[in-house]
This record gives sequence, structure tokens and C-alpha cells, in this order.
Amino acid sequence: MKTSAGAARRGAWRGRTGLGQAENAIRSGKRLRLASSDIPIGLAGIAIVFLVLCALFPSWIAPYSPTDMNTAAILQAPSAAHLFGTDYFGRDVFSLIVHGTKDSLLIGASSVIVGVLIGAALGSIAGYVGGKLDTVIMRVMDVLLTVPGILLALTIAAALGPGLRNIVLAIAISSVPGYARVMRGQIMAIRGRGYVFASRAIGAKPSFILTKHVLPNSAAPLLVMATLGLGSSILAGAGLSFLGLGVLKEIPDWGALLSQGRGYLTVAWWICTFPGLAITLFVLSINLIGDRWRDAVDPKRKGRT
Amino acid sequence: MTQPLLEVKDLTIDVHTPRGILTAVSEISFDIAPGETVCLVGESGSGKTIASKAIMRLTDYENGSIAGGSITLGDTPIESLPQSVMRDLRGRRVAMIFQEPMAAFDPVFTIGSQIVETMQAHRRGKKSTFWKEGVELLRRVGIPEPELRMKQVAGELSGGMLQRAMIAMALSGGPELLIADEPTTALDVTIQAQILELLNELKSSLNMSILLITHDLGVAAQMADRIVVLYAGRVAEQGPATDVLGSPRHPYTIGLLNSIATLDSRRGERLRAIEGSPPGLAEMPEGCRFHPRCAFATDKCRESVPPLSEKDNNRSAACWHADEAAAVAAATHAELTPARHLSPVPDAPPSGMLHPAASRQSISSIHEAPVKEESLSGSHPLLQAEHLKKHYPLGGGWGRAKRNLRAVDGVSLSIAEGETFGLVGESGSGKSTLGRLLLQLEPQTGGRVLYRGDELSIKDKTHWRESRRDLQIIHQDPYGTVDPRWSIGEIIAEPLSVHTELNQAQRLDRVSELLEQVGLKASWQNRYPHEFSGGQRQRIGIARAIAVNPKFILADEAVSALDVSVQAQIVNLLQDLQQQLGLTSVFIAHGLQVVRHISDRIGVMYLGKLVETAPSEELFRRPAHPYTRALLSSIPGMSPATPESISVQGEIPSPTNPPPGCRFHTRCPMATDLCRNVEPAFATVGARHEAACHYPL
Repeated sequence: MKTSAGAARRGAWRGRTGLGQAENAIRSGKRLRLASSDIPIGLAGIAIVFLVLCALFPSWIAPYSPTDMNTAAILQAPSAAHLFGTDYFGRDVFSLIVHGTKDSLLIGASSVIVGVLIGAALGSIAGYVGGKLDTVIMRVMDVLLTVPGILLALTIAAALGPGLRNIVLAIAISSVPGYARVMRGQIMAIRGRGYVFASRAIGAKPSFILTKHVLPNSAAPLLVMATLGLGSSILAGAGLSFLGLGVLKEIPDWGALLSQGRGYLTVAWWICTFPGLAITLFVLSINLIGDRWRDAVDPKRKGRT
Repeated sequence: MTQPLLEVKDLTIDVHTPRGILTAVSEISFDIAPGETVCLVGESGSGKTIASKAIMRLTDYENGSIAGGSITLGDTPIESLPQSVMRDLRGRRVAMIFQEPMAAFDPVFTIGSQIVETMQAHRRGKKSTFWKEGVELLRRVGIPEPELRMKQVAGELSGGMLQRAMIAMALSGGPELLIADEPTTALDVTIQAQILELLNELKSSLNMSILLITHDLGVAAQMADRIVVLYAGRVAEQGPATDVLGSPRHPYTIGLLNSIATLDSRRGERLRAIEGSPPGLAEMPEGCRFHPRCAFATDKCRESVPPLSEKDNNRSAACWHADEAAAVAAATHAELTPARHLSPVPDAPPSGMLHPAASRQSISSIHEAPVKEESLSGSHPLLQAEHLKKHYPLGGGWGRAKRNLRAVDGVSLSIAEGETFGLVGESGSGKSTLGRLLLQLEPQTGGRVLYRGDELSIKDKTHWRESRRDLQIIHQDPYGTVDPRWSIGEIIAEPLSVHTELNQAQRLDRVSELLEQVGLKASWQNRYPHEFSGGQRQRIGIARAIAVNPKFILADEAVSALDVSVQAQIVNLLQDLQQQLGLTSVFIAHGLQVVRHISDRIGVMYLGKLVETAPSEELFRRPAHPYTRALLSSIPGMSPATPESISVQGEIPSPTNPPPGCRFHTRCPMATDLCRNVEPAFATVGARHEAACHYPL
């Protein structure tokens, strides 16, 4: 009697779980999940490829020359002829953006690379060696941090003079303290992990432990920070260009374009908006891909999901 | 039969995870009579904690839902009550205490205010009355100076005190049922004994029912009136405690009982481990969930779920072959000479219940053990410690006095080649620090370590690094001590690349060999640590430790974090390897039975000092130091090894300010003025038996 009631309930119950699982499979099924998370990544990839193409072969993509001034068509709103409109000289905004890509990406990428390399090196030394060296390095970083980044970059750029190399150096140096801090914190956390102790107990040399255990495990947050930094570096480059310390060329980069259009914002919104959107598109795409990359290199997410 | 206080019937609990709905507990049924203690016993993942939380309806807050069955408390059906009504029941009729008393109290409020808060939730009254009541409750659960404790925060109390305070808080509503979820797992064995005693005393004086959740069969044996054994979310067996432990009917219960080292199991003999590990929630086997690990499994077990069939005397087991299993267990039981205290472990293994490798080894190891002991006394010391000290400086600055934490405070010992030396003691006794000092993983404050007669020091870098080839370590946390970015092949090869000149291909060969030696598949080298279970990870750790053929291995709590059935596998593996490779080792653990099982000689530490060393059998048969005897007496579920058992009160004092004279005098029932003033010397009390006590037993 008791068992039969139990069996009946069990049977009813199993039916219900089966249904639940089926529903669940539909709701979060593999195909659906793939689609929902991979579409943005795909779009981001396409955007980046497009922007890199713009940087490499601007004249293939831009319909007009960036130096072409069509005085008959100044400050025209976006149209079929001028996709993003024209500026106060009658230049095609779309073509300007395409031709400005190269310098923008160059400033952004190279200053981040230089900044991360210097910052990671200083942070690693401070975190791994510790002691007095740590104190000295980190106090210098603290001093640099007290000056706002853009002001620091401005000072450095002013001291070094205008030019692509100097602007990269200025932005890189101003971003070093941030990277150094994050790296130092990571290194110190990883240094205390069990597997570092285990490696030490095995008899591994400090250099081996640093390069094989500590650095690879510390790198992830820095990579994410670097992708975010790419966006702010481009903005910083734009700021310096605006102040006349940037790349002084007839073809403005995105930042310079943005600054130049600022005065016309009320009459010609498109001059500012489209370079701004270009920056946003680039930063967003890089962040999406950076995120996915971080997940991909995380072994915990490999294998079983 | 009386009306049960709590009746759980066909309870099924689903857990909602990002991966979908998983069933954590399937159709479990049990009941608890008033004044009865029922133990839910099971390994990790068996669903014991979630089942207990469901009774409180706390599962609702943890993505769980009761998907079927009923829970009835007295006359109230709980499973579908709204949370607003449940809130009133919680604390008043059912109260719960947890495993981590530290985490269960809010660190910023005082103990008193939290107890008063609980009372205010259920009753109207003046705060001052409640406060007085709280003081009385703390006194009731044996907390000294309750007025002062009420005003302290969680960080100022020790773990044992906090667990008592937790119990006081649970009692504040006058519950009919107390749910205790692994209440003593985080505590030392002497404190565990005190808490269990308190629970038993409260139960009988307040006529309260207790639902005790534990993985420790010893605790269950000591506390339970009835035992419910859970495996993979289903009830495997249930019945009166003496019956379940005395004549188990489910192969899982039989296996569990076999896999624990008891005080009577012969040393050097292999433990009868259950093969494999408990399944994860997402990969439950079809049919009987135990069948992949079961020696009795047939096609029937693989296909259909065995019902929990009732047997006489209120017992039931969910097994198609229960009679068969019980007969095998009973038959071997009958061969036993004096009955084992806890488990009916047969001397001869029931056929087919073993890992194939097990039977191969067991016979040789039994015969080898005594011979080994003879030869040890004459062999050379491999590792010696002379007056080793390690003091950690604490505090200082900001107007506070500088103090020293005396983790290890003058320890001398000598470990012979081929010997396995066990090190036991409560937490804070300095056993792990001593282990690290022996391997020179940190510099000592005083004394020295000799390896094969030569001084070993962390300061002599070149020599130290070379010595790592001979001195290896197996860590407590098998997951934290491997780099998550490395494949297990790379992890095991790390010592090879540090210490040998092997090329890539040779390293691969060696890794494959090692993987097989520790019972893993050679083809698994490219997998990552997170893909393995706890037991398998510990095997990886062992493979890494033996990769360069060391002479000496330190096993620092190497099995403490593992499930009982898996623990036995690892202990067996360690024993096999020790014999095959002729290792000398120091085995640190807080599980006394395990240490006894694996060690030739045992040292007992208390507050940074070695208080007794003796051959294992001798130590357990004739402990000379009162502390050793107290430790042995507090092993749960065992009838004490010696006729006069000692129970210690209080807790281990702070190592920053150790008591003068004999450090144990504050807790020793036999302490005299001599003990309080003069430190006893470490003197010989028998053959290879030393103790530091003025009045050795």
C-alpha cells in the first residue's frame, strides 16, 4: 500500500522532471546559447577587421580624398553622396575618419604596449622582490598618480615636443602607474598561492617560478586593463592633438577631428558624432574580444562547460 | 510507535543552476521521534546538507526548490508553507547550527546582541530581560564568564566557544528539533568531544530531538539513536544505529565501515577502500547510483533503482542484493575474534570487494610490518632535529608590545631511514610548522636540522636546492598547490625539469609511468587539474612528489580534506609507495586512527613542544602523557583504548604566551605544583618511548 503510493508519486514525479529537462533544453539549448553570445563577438571581429583595413588601405575605402575641399558643399548633413556629411571646409567626414584611423590606432596601440610593458615590469619587480625596492618603485608611482594622467601626458608631450613618437611616449608614461599597481597586486596575490609554495618546495629557482607560475597567472587582469586602456589612450591622443601637441598633419586623427568639430556641434552635429562613434565602436569591439579572450585562456573554462 | 516529531516523506529537491535543473536529493524518507537523535551520514555530494536545509525551507533562498514529497513537523506540513509562516517556525520550533561557527556569526555585532535579536524575533519583552536570559543560556552551554562573552564579538572567541554560543542561540527559542550540520568538523578532536557531550546532555535534559549531519561514522556511532545513510541523493540504508553499524545491509555502508582505520585494524594492513569516487550531481548513474562502485552490482542494479525495502526491526536498505551483502559481511564478521568497536571489519576481505591492486598488496604488507620495526631501531637516522625553534614575531608598533608566537619551541627528534613518523596534535600545536622546518622550507629561529648527518639549511642555497631532490612534500590542499594553467602532465614533470636532464620524450615516459603508479590513466596527461575529483588530485600531488625518487616525503594533512571512502584509497596508495620506493616519511594529520594506521612511530605535539613519542601500537596501548591519553579518549565513537579515559576541559592556550612549567598543566586533571612551576624533561619511559611528564602514566 505504502510502496504503491510511493511508486505512483515517483512515476508522476519523474514525468514532471522529464518535462522540466526538456523545457530547459529548449530554453538554454546549445544552438541558442551559441547564437546569443557569439553574435556580438562576430560583429566586434568584423568591426575590428574593417578598422584595421581602414588603417592599412584608407584610399581603397574612402570615397574622397581627405584633403579634397569642396567649397560648394560645406557643412552638409549626411546624404547619399556624403555618408557622414561634410565639415566646414567641405571635406567628406567619412573619408576623414577612414584616413584618420591609422594614426589613431597607432597612437592607441603603441602607447598601450609601451605602457603595459613598462608598468608590468616595474610592478612585477616591486611585487616579487618586495622590500626596499618595492617601496621606492611604488612611491615613485604614487607621485606620478597624484598628477592627473592627461596633465602628465601634456607635460611630457610639451617637454618632448610634438610628433607621433613623443605623443606615444607621453601617453604610455602617464599610464604606467596604473598598470604597475595592478601588476604588483596580482604578483603579490599569486606569490602566496599554494602552487608557488609547492614549486619552491620542489626546488625550482626563483626565475623559473616567476616566469612559469607567477607571470602567466598574473597576466589576465592586465590584459583586460590593457584593452580598456586602448580606448582611453586614443582619447588621450585626441586630447593632445587638440592642444596642438599631437600629430600635426593635414589629415587629422579621430581625436583631432572630434575637437575640431566641437565648435560646430549646434549647427553640424555629424562632424563630432561620427568620429566619436568610431572611437566607441573600436573600444567596444576591443573590450568584447578582450573579454572572450580572457575566458578562452582561463583553463577553468576549457573542457567541460 | 509514537507520533514522530518530524516526518520526511519522498522528499525530492531540485537545484537550479546555470546548466539547468539538477536533482540534489531524490525521494528520501525518514522520521525523527521526540527526544531522538537521527544522524544523516554521507560523503560530499550525498545531499545531506541540502536535505537538512529543506527542513528549514532555507533551500528556497539557494536556488533550490522542493519538487516532490512532504515534510511534516508535528502536525504542520512544511513543504508548502509560505516563507512568512516559516519565519515564525524557524528558531522557535526548529533551530540550526552550522559547521563554521566563525562564519555563522556576524563579525561586527556582539554575541549578546545577536542572541537577543533571535529572541526578539519570536517574543515580546524587555531587552534587559532577554539579555539576562542570554547570559543564562551561555552559562548553560558551559561558556565561562558569560556576562563578558555577551559583550564580545565573534573574532574574540575561539571556535569551540563560538560553537557553544551558536548552540545557546539555537536554544533561545526553545526548539523541539535541533539541526546540527557538521557541528564539529571544523573543531579539534578534544573540543569536538566536549561539544558532542554538550549536545547529548542538552538533548536528554530538554527532551529535544537532534538531526545531526555528519560524514564521520565515529560521531554517528557516538551520538545517533538511528542512522540514515545517504549516497548520491538517495537513502542507501537506515535503521537503529547499532544495527546499521553492527550489521550493515547496503554494500555502501559496508564499504564505508571498511574504509575507516579503526583502533583495532592492523597496522600496515591495507584499508578496504571503495573504488572510485561519489558521482557529481550532473552525472548520476542510471539504476542504483552506487552500482559503478559496488562489488555486488548486476545488470539489475544498472537498470532499475532498488526501492528502500523495509526489513524487520524498522530497518531498510535500498539494494537488490541486501541479503547477499549482509550475509557476506556477517560471515566475515563471525570470523572476527574480539568484536571491533565500531565496524564489523572482516579480517579477510569479502571476495570481490576490493580494488584488484588491493589484494595483491595486502598479504605482503601484513607480514612485512613487524619485520620492518625490528630493523628500524638499528638503522641510521635520515633526518634529525636538534632543539628546533620557530618564533614568529607579532604586532609591535602603535604602542603595542612586541610578542613572539612560539609555533615550535625546542623540538628534538630523529627519524630513522625507512621509518614513517606520524605527527599529531591539535591545531596550534605547531605540527605543520615543524614539518616545514624539517624540510627547511622556512628558516628556523634556533636549533638545526641534520640530513644524513650534515646540516641542512635554507640559507645554503645551492646545497638546499640539491637537497630538494631527496626531500619532497605532499600538500594538504591538492587543488591549491597545482598551477591551474598547467596540464597534469606538466605539473608532474615539474620536478623532473628542475632536477633532471631528461628530454621531452623521456619526461613523457616518466610521467606516464608515474600516472599509472598512482592509479591514474597515462592518457590523462593533457587534462587540467579542475577536471579531476579531490582524490584524483591528491594522486596527482603524490605523483609529483615521487617523480624524482625522493628519499623522504612530508605528507602534511595529505588526506584530511578527502571523503572517507577516498581517504582510504589514498592511505593505501601512500603505504604501497612507501614500501615500493623505500621512503622515509613524516605523516602529519589530525585523524588519530589514520596516523596510527600508517605510522611506525608517532610524536604528539602540544603548544610547540613534543610531549611524547612512541611506536604506534605502544602509544595507543600505553600512552604515557595525560595529553596523549586525552586525545585518544576524545576520538568519537570508539570505546576508549585504555580503561581510564581522560577528558580535558578548556582549549589549547595561545602560543604567544604559553603557560609556565608543563604547558599542559592548565588542562591536565593530574597537575600539581611541580607541573605548574617546573618544565618536565623529555625522558625515556619505555623501549623507544619518551614522554615529557613529571608523572607519566
